[in-house]
Amino acid sequence: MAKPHDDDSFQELEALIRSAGDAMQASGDLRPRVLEAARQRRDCLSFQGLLRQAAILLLVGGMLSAVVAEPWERASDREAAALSRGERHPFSDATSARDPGWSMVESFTDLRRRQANLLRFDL
Amino acid sequence: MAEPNDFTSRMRETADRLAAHGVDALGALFDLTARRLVRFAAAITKHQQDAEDVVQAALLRLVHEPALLASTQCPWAYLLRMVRNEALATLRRNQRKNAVNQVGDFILVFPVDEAERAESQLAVWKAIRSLPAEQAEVVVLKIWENLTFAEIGHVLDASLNTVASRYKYAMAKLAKSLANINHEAYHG
Repeated sequence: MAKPHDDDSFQELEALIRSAGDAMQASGDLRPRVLEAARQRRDCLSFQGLLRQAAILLLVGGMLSAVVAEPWERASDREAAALSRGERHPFSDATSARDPGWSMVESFTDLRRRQANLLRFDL
Repeated sequence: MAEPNDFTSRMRETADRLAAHGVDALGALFDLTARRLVRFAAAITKHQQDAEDVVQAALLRLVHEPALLASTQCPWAYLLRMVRNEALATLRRNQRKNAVNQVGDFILVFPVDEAERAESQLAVWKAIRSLPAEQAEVVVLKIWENLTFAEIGHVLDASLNTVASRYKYAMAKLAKSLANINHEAYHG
């Protein structure tokens, strides 16, 4: 055989090597294996994305409710203080004047209902 | 050369389709490139199963970034580089002590009625498997992928001179290993 560094022998050697290039085959199950793994990974990534979005929504929702609820909590604190001093609630039923205990319950119930309605509309 | 240009344009189309349709287009990419990628990876890892795992890992990375190939100037070179990086990592991780002169776990298909040609092709694979990974990959890219030394340097992130030098050393070793092969078996 010619010297290894001779270009002609390289050409022959290259031809020999080239002829063996198509001999190697992938396993028959490689294609379905790869595609199945790819689908699973895609589905996993989608689920992770949904989880991240849900976490962000919860965080934003929590922050919003804290911001909206704060003035109402202060108002309810003032009204609760007024109730505890025995002041008449502007929305209390006239008949409840006969029973101060019920008057306080009704006033508090009205207050909480009013707060819930406003919070619902705002969100 | 017509074939590389045709392959290059098909590679570009497939990369664009992968960017547009994601995993649903991965099958097309597999059909176009898998055999060649496994061949390239096997030259580095020296084992068929490792080579297939490498190719699977590289293709699965595209699930995270389906537009990755389409965004590159040469998708095929980029994909070869991805496979190479995975293959080298696998080689380092495994460090098997199996005899590299055997090709028992390679899936090689030969023409049924051409025993002599089969024998020479088997010898070629044995010889390539015995090369160091850095030489084997240059031989594969030069001869089977028809890349120029400059293109190979781009894939391997090596200089043209380094690539050419590795190729010459590799061919010298292969010439010695394959000295007894009947060259008429593949000329015919």
